[in-house]
This record gives sequence, C-alpha cells and structure tokens, in this order.
Amino acid sequence: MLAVENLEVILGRDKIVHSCTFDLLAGELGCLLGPSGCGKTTLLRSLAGFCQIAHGNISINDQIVSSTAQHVPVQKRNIGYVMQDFALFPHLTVAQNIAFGLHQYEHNALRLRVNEMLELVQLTQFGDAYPNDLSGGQQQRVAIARALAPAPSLLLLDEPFSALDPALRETLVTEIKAILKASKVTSLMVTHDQSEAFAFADKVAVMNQGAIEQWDSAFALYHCPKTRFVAHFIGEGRFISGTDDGKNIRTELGIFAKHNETYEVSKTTSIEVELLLRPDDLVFASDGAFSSIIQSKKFRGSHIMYELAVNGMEERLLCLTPSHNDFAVGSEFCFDIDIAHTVYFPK
Amino acid sequence: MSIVRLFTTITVLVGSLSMPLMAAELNIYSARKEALIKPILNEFSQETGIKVNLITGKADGLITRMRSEKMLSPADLLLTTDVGRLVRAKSFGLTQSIELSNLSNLYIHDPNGHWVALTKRTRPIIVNPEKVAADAILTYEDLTKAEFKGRICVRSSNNVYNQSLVAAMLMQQGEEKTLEWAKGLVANFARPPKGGDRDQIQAVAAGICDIAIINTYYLAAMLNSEGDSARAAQKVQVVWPNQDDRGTHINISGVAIAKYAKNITEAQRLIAFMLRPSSQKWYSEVNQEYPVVPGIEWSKTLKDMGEFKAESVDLEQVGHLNPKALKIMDKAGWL
Amino acid sequence: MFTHFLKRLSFALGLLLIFPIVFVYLSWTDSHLEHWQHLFATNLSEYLFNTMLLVLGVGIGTFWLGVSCAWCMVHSHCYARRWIQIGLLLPLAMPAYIIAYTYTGMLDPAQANPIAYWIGQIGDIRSLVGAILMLSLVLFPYVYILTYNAFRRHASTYAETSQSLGLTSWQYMVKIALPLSRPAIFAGVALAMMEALADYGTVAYFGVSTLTTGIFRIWFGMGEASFASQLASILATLVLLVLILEQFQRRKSQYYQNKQTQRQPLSSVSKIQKSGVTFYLTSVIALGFLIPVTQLLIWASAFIPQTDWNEYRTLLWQTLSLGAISGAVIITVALLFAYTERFYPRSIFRYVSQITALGYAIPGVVIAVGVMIPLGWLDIQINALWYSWFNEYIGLIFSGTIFALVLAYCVRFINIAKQNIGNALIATTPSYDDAVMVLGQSRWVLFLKVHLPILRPALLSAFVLVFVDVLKELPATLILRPFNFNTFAVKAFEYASDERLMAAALPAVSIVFAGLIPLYFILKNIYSEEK
Repeated sequence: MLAVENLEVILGRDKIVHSCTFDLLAGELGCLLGPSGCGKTTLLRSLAGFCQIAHGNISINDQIVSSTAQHVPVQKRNIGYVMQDFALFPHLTVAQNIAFGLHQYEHNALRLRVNEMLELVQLTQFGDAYPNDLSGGQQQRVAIARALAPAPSLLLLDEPFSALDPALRETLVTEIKAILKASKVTSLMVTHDQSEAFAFADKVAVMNQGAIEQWDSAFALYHCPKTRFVAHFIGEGRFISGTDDGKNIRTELGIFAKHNETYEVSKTTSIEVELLLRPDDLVFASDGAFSSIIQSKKFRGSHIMYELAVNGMEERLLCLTPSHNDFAVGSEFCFDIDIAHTVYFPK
Repeated sequence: MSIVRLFTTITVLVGSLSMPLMAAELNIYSARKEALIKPILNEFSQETGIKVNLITGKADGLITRMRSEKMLSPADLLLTTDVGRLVRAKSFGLTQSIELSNLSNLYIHDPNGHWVALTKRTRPIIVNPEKVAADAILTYEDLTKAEFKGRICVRSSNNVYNQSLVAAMLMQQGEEKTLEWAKGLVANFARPPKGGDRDQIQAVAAGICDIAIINTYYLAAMLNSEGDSARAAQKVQVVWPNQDDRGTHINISGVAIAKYAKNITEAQRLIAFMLRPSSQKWYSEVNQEYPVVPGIEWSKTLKDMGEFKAESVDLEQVGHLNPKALKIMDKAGWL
Repeated sequence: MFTHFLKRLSFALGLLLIFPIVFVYLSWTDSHLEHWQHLFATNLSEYLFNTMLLVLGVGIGTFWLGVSCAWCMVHSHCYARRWIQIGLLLPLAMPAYIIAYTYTGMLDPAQANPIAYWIGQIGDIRSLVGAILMLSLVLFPYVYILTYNAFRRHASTYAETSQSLGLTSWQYMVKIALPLSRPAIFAGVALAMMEALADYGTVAYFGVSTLTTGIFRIWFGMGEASFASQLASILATLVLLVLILEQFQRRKSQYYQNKQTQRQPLSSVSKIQKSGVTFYLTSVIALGFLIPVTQLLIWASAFIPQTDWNEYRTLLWQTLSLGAISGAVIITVALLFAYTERFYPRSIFRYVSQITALGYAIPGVVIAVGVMIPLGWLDIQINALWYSWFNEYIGLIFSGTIFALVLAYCVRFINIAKQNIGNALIATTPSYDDAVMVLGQSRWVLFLKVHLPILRPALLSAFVLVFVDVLKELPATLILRPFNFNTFAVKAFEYASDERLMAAALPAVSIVFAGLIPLYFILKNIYSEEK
C-alpha cells in the first residue's frame, strides 16, 4: 500500500531525513516512533506532500507520488492528515468541518457521509456544535472524522494525542485504533511515546537522527532490537559485559546461547560484547542461583521494579517481580535468569 | 507595439468611465469658497444656459493641479482671492490674455490682460475706542509705538492677507524699513498669533487686546449677524491708516482664463457677467467686498465704515514680492 | 501560477503606492540651499521642537487615556458598562480639527459663560497644550482598543496566577499586564503619534508652528512646492523611525501570543469605587465626544432652516459612496499585500510593503501632490500616444477623477488596513492551510471558506476605520476631487476657514454621525470575545 524507499529530505541546508525504507500493507496501522527532533514529523509531511524529497521515492497504491523527478500535489494524493493541533476551523460546525473535504459529493450523499462519520466517531449529537464547545478528546475525534470522510487511501496522524490530557490518552488510543480498524484505513502515526506506539500500531519504525533504525512489530522491537539505540530507547534493561565465543555469550551470570548474528564473528578469536538483560529476564526465587542486595525499589501496582547489586559486579540489574514479593531496600534478593532472546552488541 | 496600443486602449476605456464630463460647459477652479460664489454662478447659468462645473480648493492646490494637467487641464477659469496667486499662475504660464471689449482702465487688471480683479478687499486697523484715542493711530507705522506694547492682536503670518500687506509695504518702503516695522509690530503683540480675523475682532471686544488688523468683510459680516458676534463687532471701530500718504492696504479677488481653456467664449461671458453692475452690487451686499467698477453703490455696512484712500501700487509687483515678505516675517519672528 | 500572478500584482500595486512617498524624497534633486539657510536662521528649530513636543504629548496623552480606560474596563467595575464600552470608541468619529473648532467656539472669550471664563484663566485652549489635548481626546481609542484586547487576553491566566502569588492589582499592572501588553499599547500609541505628525487642521487653527504648518507656509507663501516636499521628507523620516520602533516591538510580541480568552471573574469593589470609575470613564467620553457633539448639534439646529436639503442629500451620497469605495479598494489591496507577504515571507516585497506604511503620517496635501504630478504625467503620455494614432486628445483619465482620489486615500490609509488584517492573518495558523490542502481543496477554497470567515471581523474593522478616516480626510480631498464633488469635510472646512463656525456645524456633525453608522457594526466584533 505505502512503500518508502531510501527516502532523503533536505530542508534548507540540513538533511532532516535520510536512508528511510519501510512499507505498510493495506489496513495496517504503522507508527513512527522516536525522540523529538529525530525527523519523524518531517518524514510524515513528506509523505503527505508538504515537502519535496531530495532522494528516493514514495509510492501509494503502487503509484509513485514523490521522487526526485516527480511530486504529486497534496490535493491529489488522496490522503488524510490529522494535525497536532487538530486545525479544526473555528467558524464551522462539527458537521461542516467534516464535510469540508467532501467537495465532490452531492447534497444527500454528503449528508449521509457526514452522518456516517459522526456515527463512526460517536459524536452524532454534536453535528451542530462548534469545535470550541467540545472537549479535547471530542475535538480529536472530529479531526479524525474530517480526515476520514473523503475515504483516503492513507491516513497520517501527527502526534494526535500530544495535545490531550495524559489520563485520557490510553483510552483514546484504543478508541481511535478501533475506529481506524473499523474503517479499514491504512494509517501512519507519529509519536514520541512508546506506550502509545505499542498500543496503536501493528508495526513501528524507531527513528533516530533522521534514519529508521528498525521497522518491526512491537514484540520484535522489545525482544529483538537490532541496534543499541533501539535496545536503549525501547523498554527498560541493563547491559552486562561478556564475551562471544562463537556459539555462546559468556558472562559472570552464566552462559547464554546465541539465537542470531547481529555482526560478523571471526572463528578464531572471541569478542567482547554487552548483553542486554530486561527486567523480566530476572525471576525472583527464594532459592535462586544468584544473590544480590536491593539498592532501590519502585512500586508499580501489580509489580515492583527492584534495582539490584550483585556481589562483585559493577553493573546494576533490574528485576520486575509480582508485588507480593515485597522486600526492604538493603535486604537480600535471590533470583534466577531466564532469557528467551539473547540480545547483545559488540563493545 | 500592438500590445502597448491594446493596453492604452483598455486603460482609456476603463478610465473614461470615470472621466469628467466635458461638454460645452464652463469649468472653474475656484479658491473662493463655494458658498460665496455658487449663487452668482447659478444666476449666470440660468441667464445663459451655460452649465458651470466647479472645484473649490486652496489656490496653490489648484495651481499645482493645473500645472500637472498641462494642456489637458479642463479648467477654463481660475478664481482666486488674492493677487499673489494670480501672479503666480501667470508666471507659471497657466493663463492667457483676456480679450474683453470693455477691459479698459476702469478695471484693475494685469498689464497684459492675464487677470482681472473682481472685487477689492481692504485691510485696515480696528481699535477699541474706549481704550485707544481717536488720533493715536494714523498709520500702520504707528502700531510699532512703545505705548501699544502688549495691546495688538493679529493673525498668523501664514495668512495670505498678512503676507500681502507686508509685500505691499515692502514695495513702498523698502526691505529695511519693513523688517523694522514687522519687528516693532511683533514686539507689541498681546499674544502669539492665533485664529482668524474674526477671532481678532472678538479679542479686541473681549479686552484681550485693544488693536487689531483685519479684513473689513469679516467685520461687516459680524455686524450683520445676530447675537454675540454682532455685539462684539459693535464694540470696535475701524481706523483707516495712512490717509495722508500712501493709503490703506488693499488686495483683490480676481479671475484668469486658463491657458488651455476650451470654452473661451463662455469664460469671457462669465467675466463680463461678474463685472456688470448688478453682480458687483451683489458682491458688495452679500459678501461685503468693495466693487471694482467705479460708481457702484456700496452696501450700507460698508458705507457706515467710511470712505478711505486706498493704496495705488502695482499689484503684480506685490504678488511677486510675496515670498520675500514671508521671509521678512520669519526674520521678525511673526509666527 | 496563480500565486505568481498575485506576487506580481502586489509588487506593481506596492510600487504604485510608494511612488508618491518616493516622490517626496525626489524633491532633494532640486537645490534650495538659500531657503534652508533662511529656515535654519529662523523657524526650523521651532518647527522641530513643537513637532516633537506635540508628538510626545499626544503619545503620553493617548497612552494615559487609552491604558487607563482599558484597565478600568477589564479589571474594574462601572455602571452602564455596555454603554461605556460603546462610548469609548465614539471619539474615533470626531475629526481633530472639528473638535478644535468646537472647543474654541465654546470657550470663546466673548461669551459670558462662567465655565469658559474659568477655563480661560487656566490657559488658552489655542496653544500647544490645547492641541495635544484635542488630539489625545480623539486619538486615544486607537490605544484603548488594542490595549483592551491585550489586557483581556492576559486577564484570566496571568491575573489569577498573580493574585495567587499575592500581587496587588497595582503590582500586577506594572509587573505583568503592562509589559505583556507593551506591543499592543505601542502599536496604538504609534498610530496616534503618526496621526499627530500628519495633523494640519488643529495646529494651524491653534497657531502652533509645526513641520506640517511649515510645509504649507513654504508651499503657499513662497510657492516653493519642491522645498516644501523636502521638509515633508523630514516628516516622513520621523515616521519611519516611529515605525521601525513599532516593528521592533511587534517582532518581540510574537512570543506573547496566548490563545486563552476566558472571561476573568471580576472581584467585587465598593460602590464608591464603582461610581468613581464610572465618573472617570464618562468624563473621558463626554470630553471627547458628548460635549462637542452637543455643541455642534445646537449650532447646527440654528442653521437647519437655511439648509438646502437637496444639496445635503447629494453631499451625503457623495461622502458615503466615496468612503465605501475607498474602504473596499483599500482592504482589497491590504489583503493582497498580506497574502503576498504570507506566501513569500522572504521576498523583498516585504520592504515595499513596509514603506507603504509611511503614507499614514505624511500630510494629505503632500500625498495629493505626490499623486497628482505622476498621474498628470501619465495622462499626458497616454494622450500623446492616442494623438499619434487617432489625431485627437481624450483628456484626463486618471488625474482629476475619483481614481486619483482613491489612490491618494490608498497611499494614506493602507497602513491601518494592513495592521488590522496582518494581525488577524497571524491567527490563521499554517496548519489550517495544510488541513485544507490535504482535504483536496485549492488555495481559493482556503481563502474563501476558511481565511475569509476567520478574517471577517478584522476586515470589517479595517473597512470601518478606513471609511471613517476617509470621511474625515480633508487636504487630499480638497486638491484632488473632481468637478462638482463635495464631501462633508470639504464643506465643514470651507465654512470654518471662512470663520463661520456655526454654518460649519451641520456638515461637521454629519461627518461624526456618518462615521457612527459603520462604527456600530464593528462594536460587536471588537468586543466579540464577550458573548
């Protein structure tokens, strides 16, 4: 549906986006995730056609819309776009806002479509209200309804939740996801919040300094990060040092089997590596193989996050354990290690 | 070339929608206020069937307009209320010689016939008779006497009547004496110059000062009004200065035919109309100005102010000296 | 394609509008050394000194009146709030020269009026101080409107925060409200100062020698138009300084944009305080509007039996249609400029556009000459061409017609329209533009369906301000108008300059009331935030 190949965008003299390649299947929800200033909004805007690209190409439904030679204007791309500030026109009612993009519809069809959209976003009784009379969440749904009304082949959302109350976000993300899935529109969202990204998307691109580091499912990003940046940025965890002997990673906390190769290893010499330990890789056991002292603890409702110091090791470890295992800071904590995915990077 | 032609044609077509009408009519640029001239123009139209189009404004604005319009100017006649502007228009080459069969020496006119006077206006002195002795002031020069320190009101030197007064004096007395006079006058001012001639009359009546220099038609108009201003006007008395030598200062209102006038016959008819006795009488009765045609009876108010001897100077020269007069007033500190 | 056409059109119009201003500076190609020496030796220092004092005085006067009234309206209570809100805008409809004539007539020493006598003891109204007072009384609404809206913008959040931090209202005003509203206040004061710089009627009537009276004196007295233009160019340069300062302030102001416009709950005040505030506000309105208008009405009623109503109807029609045509043309041009600047922010058009703002402070008479001479030249060229093809002249096309008059108004008043529209256009954020494009609509739709409705209040108020200013404008109208064409201002001037104040009253009061009609329509918009 959407295919982006080796995209590069230059604004002024700065290369904002480079070496971006990814694709979305019809009906899939994608997400561009990254810290602020990583170029994710620029990438989104170049997909919409607001900015020219310097290199590579973008195609929607197998049609090239942007390349160095070609630039289909925004109006002809058949995309929807939800602005960060929603950009609802204050002088038009909700229904008029939704109808704004439906210029080819006849009167009756238009009414039907607007009602359909109002129903989709569950705002049927607000058709005659003005945007300023609605809550933030309602305004956002109007913005989405307006973008969806012309039945775009691709919906782009720029930080759609950032203007909203954090307490509302979680429920809204789920609601919006349901709306988008129901309308079967291919969507791409930009965000800097990974919980939003994970809750929303089928596939997530982690971006750093203008480039996509990894384009994968949320599960894969967490458990099989391909770069150190992704490993750091997604989820929690600590690195411990070890050596790669070709088949296994040897550390002070044991020997772990390798699943895949992220780098070339010569057969003769072993390589110094760092192994990622996620908090859920450590399992509390009163008769566990390893003993440690609790340095600090954070209560998280169902679970407690402990920071642990193992005797003789510089690195601190994290362990997430059900909250009935409640211990005081400074007391002893025993655990076993159970790694499903061995993630390691050369030092 | 054809593009230029097309453009010009379009411009002309668009422009012609807002073009002034130019039938066989008479177009007047007048520095005289509409209210003071419209009645007599209406009478002219009724009598002759010639439609009169009028623009009023400040004389220099109208002159500038004629200069920029050059040979396209719609103006047939230029009416002004002072000789200086007529002379200025003539020196810019905006006028032509008026050929009136009876443009004789009876009238005040330009030596080459480029303008002719329609009315006379005088600028004498007025005093509060209770405070100023009857023979204390006999000349304009007397106003510089030390005894009148802080007792004289006169309007700003921005005003053309004052400029003309000083220019006339400059011509007859020379630069040195005129500057000295202007300085002496300024030294006797009761207050910085402000307001118009009526204000000076009011000031004398109210006791702010005892002496003022004014044009008579303002006083006459106040005398003929009702209420406060009539009462104020009755408190003052006209003094005709310099009756034993050069005479009281006069200026004229006048008319010139524009160089590029298209309706010359009509223009000449209007000038003749304005110079005929009934019109002259109208000016005297309604506007309280003095007729230029000898033998026309003055209005009662003017007669009551008294006969006087007027300056006989070359008005053209007075007009030329206007800028110099202004500089002298600058030097004297006459604001 | 379309926007390129737009850009070229704006450039052409911009150059047309700055030409009369440039023309003023072109006068320096003539040498007037001798005149300058004379002027240096005599009046120049006085012109400059009085001009500075006048502008400074009007700046302080309008600042005081505008800010104090805005403060009272936003942060205090008064009786008849609705009426006072309207009343505070009314002085805008009052031309400064007419209020000057009126007060002079009222305080006439010849009248046996104790109040007139009493005021006469304090000082003569016809003085520099009097001119400052008159101008401040009619110009302060510019400051008031802008400051009022600025105060309201900050009222809810900042005022409450400050209260919670224990600041007194005085401290809030000095430390928060004034600094935050500074750009708005300054914009208003700058407008008032520019009007004061261009004023001729008031200062001339009061016998105060300023640069403008000097320009007239030199032009009329000496017949030296180009020397007068040189003096006018000094005036224009002064304005340029005011404008640069204002732009500098505005650039800073963009950081202060705050969308919150909730109504601030007013804290309760004592009855005495409420009465005091009401009294203060009412006296400002009375002095700037009610008293002079009442006086004018009394005078006018004495002249009603002598009025030719047919002529009056023509006059009314000519005045209103001139105002409406000029208003429409000027806001269209201002809109065009605003969009060109928005689409091409880096283009040098920005500078052209900024220079057009100078016109606001150049006396109308100077603009009239700057318009008349180039148009006369153009007419002559066209006629020469026409003659070469058809062997006849077609006469004047541009000069001596409504075209010249509207162009002169455009030069003079484009700044007012631009300021209003520019500020409003900032409020239409770029994300609207993006949203419209992404919904598959053209720029025309963006303009017609989104921007225009959002800009409507600003366009309306720009139209009204221009309309009222055109009604009041005198010198350019006097010089450029076509045959048999009169306005109320011209009529009022003719009578007043003939020292017939009473006869001038009817046209004068008509200007005021004609200005009130459109003013009524923007009242809603100016106070639109309060529903």
